Amino acid sequence: MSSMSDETNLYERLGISEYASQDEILRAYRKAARRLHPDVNVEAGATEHFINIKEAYEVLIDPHKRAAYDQNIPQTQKPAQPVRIDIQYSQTVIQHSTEPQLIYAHIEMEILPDPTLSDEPPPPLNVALVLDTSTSMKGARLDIVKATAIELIRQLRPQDTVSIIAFNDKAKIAIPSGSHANSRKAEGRIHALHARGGTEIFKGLEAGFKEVQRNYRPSYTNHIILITDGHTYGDEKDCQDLADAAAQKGIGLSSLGIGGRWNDVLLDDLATRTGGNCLYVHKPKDIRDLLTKKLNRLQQAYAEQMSLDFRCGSGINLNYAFKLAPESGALSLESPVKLGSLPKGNHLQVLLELIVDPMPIEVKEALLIDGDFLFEIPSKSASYQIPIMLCRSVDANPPPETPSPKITKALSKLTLYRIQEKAREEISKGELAKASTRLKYIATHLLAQGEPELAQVVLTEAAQIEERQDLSEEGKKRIKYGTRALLPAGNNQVSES
Amino acid sequence: MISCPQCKYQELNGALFCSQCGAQLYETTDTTAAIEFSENRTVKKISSSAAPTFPSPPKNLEDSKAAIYLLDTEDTIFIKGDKELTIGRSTEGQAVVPDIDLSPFDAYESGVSRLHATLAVKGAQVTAKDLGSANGTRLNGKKLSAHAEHTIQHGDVLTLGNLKLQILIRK
Repeated sequence: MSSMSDETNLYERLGISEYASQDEILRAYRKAARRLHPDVNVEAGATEHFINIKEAYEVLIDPHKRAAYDQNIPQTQKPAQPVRIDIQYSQTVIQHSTEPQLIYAHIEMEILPDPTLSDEPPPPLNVALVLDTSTSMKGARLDIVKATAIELIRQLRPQDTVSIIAFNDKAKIAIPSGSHANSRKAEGRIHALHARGGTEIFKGLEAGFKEVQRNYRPSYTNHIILITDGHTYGDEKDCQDLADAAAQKGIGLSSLGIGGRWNDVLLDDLATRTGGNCLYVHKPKDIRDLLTKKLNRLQQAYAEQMSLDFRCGSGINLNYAFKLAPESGALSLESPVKLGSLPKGNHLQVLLELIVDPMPIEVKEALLIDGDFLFEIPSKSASYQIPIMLCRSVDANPPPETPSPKITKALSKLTLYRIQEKAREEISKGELAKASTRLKYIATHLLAQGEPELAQVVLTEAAQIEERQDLSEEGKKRIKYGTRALLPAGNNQVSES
Repeated sequence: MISCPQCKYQELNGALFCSQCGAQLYETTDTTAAIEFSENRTVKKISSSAAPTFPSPPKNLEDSKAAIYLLDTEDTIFIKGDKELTIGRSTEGQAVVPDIDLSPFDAYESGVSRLHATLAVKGAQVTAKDLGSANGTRLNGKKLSAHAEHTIQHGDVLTLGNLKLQILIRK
């Protein structure tokens, strides 16, 4: 460093952590400046103190200088950084305005490996497979589900526990929770499953929840996976309550919906409540691939029970929140936001849309979101609470700028997903012509983005909307999960083990 | 408020895409980096005789008749069979990616456009065409008119922005 007047760490001078965001650096500096600036503080030593802080600020606020500084921090001064958080905004400065305005924030979090710890294996998996065995599953669907279940049980590690629940209008525990690696008996029981009866999802989930709790440890990866092809009636509220209870204990709930006749709105909601995800199975043969991937992801979980505890600044409203990676899905707008688990080496990516109320001219800085990222790393038996703060300065005439490509890239796809949601809302209100126009807009964008196959599905649905007074059930799912699948998955790849 | 140019819907300030029709509402300034050429820059003609002999291609590209040799980094890109290829660079979120992506070779800094030029190989005949690029394409230092085909000889140097590519043709 240029000045040798103060040997203390630059982060310590500002009173911030080494993984402080740019906003935090700026805030810490402003706070200190208000207190110590030579114009306001004439106490002896205050000026020198201020110069030290200013020097620290000037290095840390510049990403290049900061990186160079970070490299040269003596190891003894360097505390282990558990995470790296990168926040990008659609605009670096908010404009003073008498109107409300939108601002987007893209938050990327990476958990850094701890060099002091040897490579601990991921935590044991404790999972319940809740299989729909109603009449509609008869044939290829159930056959493939059964074959995949047997295959997956064979792949489980000795420390993993699994249970299998078969449900129609009743739930039956086909295999109780336990370690069933290489169990002929368990395989025989799966083979014996056959399809009949209706679909009452709550009964299946309730039994699955019970089984997961039998081998539940907070340090395990606890998850319920529902596989269904049918609508459930009248028990939606019970399902939601169960999901909330599961989320309380850190048990995730993910679903695979097969074909067109299942309630995607409900199953997506259950995923949002628990930090799980919901996948659409277009062809039965995809079941094996999707289920295997899902289980692999869970087996490789590094961080668990991630959530964001937050409050909005005054005059700020969270309007939309979406998890882009590791698995995409809508997020709750209420704190705490459940974010699921993170496989090793993956990044968590979240996009927030905030509405900023009119900003009067005297406001110089807007606090958007203040909160904490919470997560567990079971292999280290550690819980983390990482403060996160989103704020922007406010100015009358901010310079024009191009929004971050991370935001525009994600939004160009996410916008199509949201327009699809709008079209479905309109259909439910009987506004068919509006919905049809909207679908055509989606199709045009899909063609421009090089997705002719999905564009064709959308156009076919738009053409039949008047006659059918609705989208086809299959079409709804293909458009919803098709547009969702366009979202960039970032670096997140889980190696097949 | 921002009025959507496509559907006229009134969006809040700060919106990046129209929530009703998906139209983009912000200005894209991802233009190709402008390159300053010095007025009297000397054109270094690389004669065909000074050109390297056609290098031996790797096994799977044995039938290559033409190759692109990057003079700055000394990398070689082999072109397999007869075809017309687009040359340019890729950016995040770009819909159309060129067949030959020069991004790894500092294409952006060198002023290469996203779709800069094409190179067509037909038997022993190789032609190049500038696609109306921001900084232009030069053949042995001479600027090519856009959208017109120009015949390339073995050892000719195509300059895309500031990036020099020597075209090698197998005899």
